[in-house]
Amino acid sequence: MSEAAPGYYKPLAVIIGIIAIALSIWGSATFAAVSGIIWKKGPAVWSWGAAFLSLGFDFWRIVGGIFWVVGTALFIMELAGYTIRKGRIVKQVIKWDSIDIAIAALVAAIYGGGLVATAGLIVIPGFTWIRPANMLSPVFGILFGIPGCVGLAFGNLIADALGGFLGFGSIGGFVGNFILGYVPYKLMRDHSLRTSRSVFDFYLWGVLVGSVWCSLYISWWLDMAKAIVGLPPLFVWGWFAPFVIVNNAIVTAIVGPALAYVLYPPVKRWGLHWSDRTTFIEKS
Amino acid sequence: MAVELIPYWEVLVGIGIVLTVIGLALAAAKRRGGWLVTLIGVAFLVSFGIYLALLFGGIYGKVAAAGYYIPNLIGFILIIIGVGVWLKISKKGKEGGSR
Repeated sequence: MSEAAPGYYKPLAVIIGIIAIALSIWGSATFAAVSGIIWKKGPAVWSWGAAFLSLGFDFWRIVGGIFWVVGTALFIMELAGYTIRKGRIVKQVIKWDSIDIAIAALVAAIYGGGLVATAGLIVIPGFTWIRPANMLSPVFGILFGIPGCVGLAFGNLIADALGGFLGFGSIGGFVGNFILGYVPYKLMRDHSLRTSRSVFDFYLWGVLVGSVWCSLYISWWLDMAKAIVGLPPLFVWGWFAPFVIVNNAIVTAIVGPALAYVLYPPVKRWGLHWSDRTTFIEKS
Repeated sequence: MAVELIPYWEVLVGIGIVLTVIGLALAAAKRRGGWLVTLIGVAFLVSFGIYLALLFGGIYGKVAAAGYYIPNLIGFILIIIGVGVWLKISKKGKEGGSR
């Protein structure tokens, strides 16, 4: 999997790492400063909330809608046994034998358990909480592929039920958490975290794009279902969406690369890595 | 004591039932993804079951509030189970070696 990366990836990896960590710390710090008054005074008191709201609901509905449609299409396609590889739709064979099911189960248990363990740190009652276990999602995605992503979706659903957050929004959370692992799994070229290109890709796809995609996916779902879930668009786009990005990104940016670096060799050695368990049928 | 369920709980249960039935039908027809769709359906039903159990146990949504650490404790137990499963299949992998 590891291959030599062009020299410019080294400074690029450092720069994107610093940007991702700085952005997420800035988002968390500014959120923490206003968390006591945001519910009363509205999301605009948070700089990130104000920035999101300045773009308008229509902007987010269009952008979120695109992410939602593409995300849902990819989710269904993967479930149906097809995937995109080298720009083409190909069949993939995942055995779903006892090992694959055990992988999905262990990911669901560790991720779901990790989420529930901190479920008391509520940010938006009934919708989200501080979730350090989010750092596991891109790591499990790049290590275990589709069984790992399915496990993430299950884990989030179990955490919603155990943590007191089960509701109509959980349907969006199910696919949103699948996407959180799927984006880095599918878009990183090298999953070893042993080259500068791999680290760069992890920050780009696993931390930044994955977090934004997951957030916009769930936010759009909550917004479209506002008559059922009851969260006003002001809070969906001004609070929930930016908070979920920050919540996903901060732990993933700080701990994720080291975790993936440590776990990759044993997972690969034991034949549990997705590349050892998934075959692709490409027509010539 | 009357217990109030979450709004639109029927949708969650309905999704669980529909996906389970569709998944079983696909699996019976030996179509791709049949068992996976079944699993997703079952996951929705199991989640609703967990919700009901916590609700009727009087601890749903009372995570880490004074005296209610049971759901958090279940979380820690799940982590231990997950790590246990990982070690177990890793052992299998070690015995079989990387393919």
